[in-house]
Amino acid sequence: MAENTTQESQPAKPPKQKRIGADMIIPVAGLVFGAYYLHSIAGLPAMAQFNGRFLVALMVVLVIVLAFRMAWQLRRGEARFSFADLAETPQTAILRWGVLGLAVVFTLGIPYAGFTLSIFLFLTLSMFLLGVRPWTKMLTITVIASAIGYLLFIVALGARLPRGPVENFLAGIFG
Amino acid sequence: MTLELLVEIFLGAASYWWLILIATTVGIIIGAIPGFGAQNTIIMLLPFTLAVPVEMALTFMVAIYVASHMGSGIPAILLNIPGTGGAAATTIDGYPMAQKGMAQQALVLTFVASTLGGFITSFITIFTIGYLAQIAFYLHSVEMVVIMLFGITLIAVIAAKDPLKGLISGVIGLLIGAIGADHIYSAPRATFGFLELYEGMPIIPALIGLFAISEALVMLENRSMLSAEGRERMLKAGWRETGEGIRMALKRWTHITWTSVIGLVVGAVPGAGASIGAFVAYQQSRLYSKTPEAYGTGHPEGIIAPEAANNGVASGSLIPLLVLAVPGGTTAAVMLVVLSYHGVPLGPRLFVEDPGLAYGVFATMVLSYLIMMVTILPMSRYLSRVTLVGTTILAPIIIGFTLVGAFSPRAYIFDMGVALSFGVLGYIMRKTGYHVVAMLIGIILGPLLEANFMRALRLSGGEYSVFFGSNIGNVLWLMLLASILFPIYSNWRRKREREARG
Amino acid sequence: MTTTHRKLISRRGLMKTAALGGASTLFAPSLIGRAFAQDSFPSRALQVLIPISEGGGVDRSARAFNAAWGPSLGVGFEYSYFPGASGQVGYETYMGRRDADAYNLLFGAIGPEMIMYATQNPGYTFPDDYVYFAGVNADDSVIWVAENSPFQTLEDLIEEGQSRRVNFSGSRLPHPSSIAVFLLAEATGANFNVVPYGGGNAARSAAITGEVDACCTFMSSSLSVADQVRFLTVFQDENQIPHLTDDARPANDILGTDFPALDGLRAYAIHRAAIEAHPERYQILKDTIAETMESGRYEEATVAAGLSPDFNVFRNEEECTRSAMQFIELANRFEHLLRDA
Repeated sequence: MAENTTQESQPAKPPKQKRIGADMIIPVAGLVFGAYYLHSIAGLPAMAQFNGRFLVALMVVLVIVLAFRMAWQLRRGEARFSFADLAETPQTAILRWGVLGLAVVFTLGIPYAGFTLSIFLFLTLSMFLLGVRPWTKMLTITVIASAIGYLLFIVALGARLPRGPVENFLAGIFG
Repeated sequence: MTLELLVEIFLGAASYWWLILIATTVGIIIGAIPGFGAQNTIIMLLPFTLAVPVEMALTFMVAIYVASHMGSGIPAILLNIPGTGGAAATTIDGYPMAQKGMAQQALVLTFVASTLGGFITSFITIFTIGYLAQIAFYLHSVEMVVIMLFGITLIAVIAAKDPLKGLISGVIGLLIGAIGADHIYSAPRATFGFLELYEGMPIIPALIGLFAISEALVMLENRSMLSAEGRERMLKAGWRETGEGIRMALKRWTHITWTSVIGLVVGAVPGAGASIGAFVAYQQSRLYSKTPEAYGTGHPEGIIAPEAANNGVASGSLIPLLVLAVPGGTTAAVMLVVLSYHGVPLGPRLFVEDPGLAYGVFATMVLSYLIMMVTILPMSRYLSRVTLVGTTILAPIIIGFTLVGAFSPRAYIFDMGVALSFGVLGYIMRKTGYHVVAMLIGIILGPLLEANFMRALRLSGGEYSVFFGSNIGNVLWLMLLASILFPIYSNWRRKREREARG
Repeated sequence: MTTTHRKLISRRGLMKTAALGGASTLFAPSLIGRAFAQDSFPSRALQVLIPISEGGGVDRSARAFNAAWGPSLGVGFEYSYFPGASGQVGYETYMGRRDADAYNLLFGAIGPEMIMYATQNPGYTFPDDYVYFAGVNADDSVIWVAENSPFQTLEDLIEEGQSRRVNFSGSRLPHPSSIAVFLLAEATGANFNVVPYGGGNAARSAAITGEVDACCTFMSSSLSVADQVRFLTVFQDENQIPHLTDDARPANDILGTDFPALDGLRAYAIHRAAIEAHPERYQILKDTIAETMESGRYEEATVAAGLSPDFNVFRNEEECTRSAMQFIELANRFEHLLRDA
């Protein structure tokens, strides 16, 4: 499984039949967004609508061409309908969506726990989930990474990041 | 420009060599962290720049500014995460090259292209600033529309495997770029009810989601981001690879020169930025290449062009500030605050009353590039080892820290949510064969294109003929047409040659 | 969402220390401040919400004024920035997520932000939910042309506007300076077209590089280009700095009109609920501001911040409300121009 993950990551050897189906997600999402866009600009001055109308029309044309191409490929048996592009083993799925879930929790929690504590917890839990072992190695990495984050963002750059218990404690010590 | 003045400005800049050394180091670091950049750093360091003599403040700001452009290429290559929009084009060839285990060569290419490109353009600026300042008088809304279309045509060619899908990604990107208040009436469009989207889709969070977060999610499928042979090559890499990178870059010095000049010209237009310069340079580089099909697979020219250009933009973008007293970008706007605090007379008067200060800016740039060449090149060997770190460690660090980067520019938690949403979107795109760079071009250039387009129409009272009403504009249109037709023609000719050979 | 940051407080401290040398006394709690401390208000730093980006003109005005106000209050200030939607993000945050305890204040620019209020229908009401109680700095709308422009006077520009469309660059349509041009066009019948450039710098650049005929903008931010441009008129009772602006006369003087002042009055605002719940605190805020105005410290602090004290003013609650209501009325009157051509 050492396949590159380049921009257009496709299976290493193209199967005899192209898989189509999953690649309709983006165009369909685009059309839904386009419809919402048109809805949201209804009633605005013509000039404010111009760009949106033009782009949505262009998108519809392109998606129709894509749909025709797909239908053509299906008919000639060059492709089959499948969502396999997005398929993943349950294990990878747990890891991937688990990390993403943790990232959501991190985002929601950062205003309350402050930057340093949140990033430490996020890194530790994610690496735990991903199976970074032994414990000591994992904790060393997460503690160092959080400390670098603290020193770089809060101390050196003075970024406007949420402060929490760790920042207040350290500020208490160093003034 | 007299010889005397020339010597004076270089001696003046050289006396601050230690400050340039510090500032360029800081600049490279902040440039390399997505979400941070010269602008917020200079704001945070205001107490310093306001307290010290103006020459010192200016030296410091200029050195940070140019170094940040260079730093932004580092994560673009190593992790497929551009530090700023100006380095987005660098990912197209930089990351594939790193995946082949040639991260070190790719970094060296970036560094040499950036420093050499910046060096050449800042040197040119010293002698031609008067002429370069004139560019702003000729490139107005209409001309900018055409220049941006050069960058936008990249959407069609960038996804060489499936141009149709590339176009769809690009158009969706353009539509996302059209979220927010319209450019004439300030009427909100498609904001999903979020006030935070009123000013448009924030670019840094979108970029972080599309590139960093989606990349991290994909990365988890493998233990390493490198291919098997790439890993082997990386493990064996030493100083020899640095040398190889330098040779690769120097062999292409003409390429560096002309792409950096594209950046310089774009940069001299107030309001145009590093991302426009980099995309246009990449597009032109690919257009005139004998091997356009190699672009996107880790081609050296594909790294050189955008990097030389975004440093060329850095040289050009201070011209409107100094000559017209109008900052051309956000960083220049902060510099204006500092310079006016110090009572520096900007505009034409500056060149009469204090030419040493005016030209000194570019002497500082020249020296900054020289110093960076010495400090950063040896670092490539060590920086490139980041690619050897396992993905189980890398992915959480990328997600955690880039989310913070998404938050930083505006300090809105909302923007972290934007980054996560774009992360999922980017993940689906990558998995189903849609090009994320094509979408990003739309998100970045879309609002700029629309703003200039609407403005030109409003100036003309709604006459569409305005787009063909200027000579320079018409020349640019012809060049655009040529750059669309040229690849078709050269394809056709190559095909015929092949057929002739049998 | 809030992120107050100590770093910036020290930055401001540094800024002043650097500029004034030994003037650090400005930051020491003064005796006057303590005299007001009956209910020990204020006992901690005031939270200043700014609905515009950090480092901009409003931010700098706030800091300059606070450097003078701090000693009277005896406490410092913490800033947070909520730019976006012409200020609406900041106002919504202030109304919805800040305690009405008189510690939380908002510092904004009345003109542009009341036009925003009138055109964007935000989720709060003026003056029921908040009031502006102290205007401390006023920037005036001006019209200028590039130095090499054929137009020497405002009359030239109007005359040209009788025969063709004259383009003005402005930062955006819902802005006092744009409304100034609308008023001018209405009064003279000239064909004036305001082209929004999305920001003051871009607007000034367009006028200097000759993409448009003239620029409508605020005065203070135009001073850095003063020697490349010719000021034609100002929309205020009198020109506050004639020596720096080509002795440009007020439009009302030139044309005999009766335009209201189209200024950007930078002012402190407070929750109405805070005034009702803590009238004594509100009184302390007003008294210390009055004391600051009299002390002369404000002018010193303005100069120290590198700004021109010529724009310093003092407007009380009544005057601020009058200005605000005027802008609501103007925005409604020109709604057809703000929404469609």
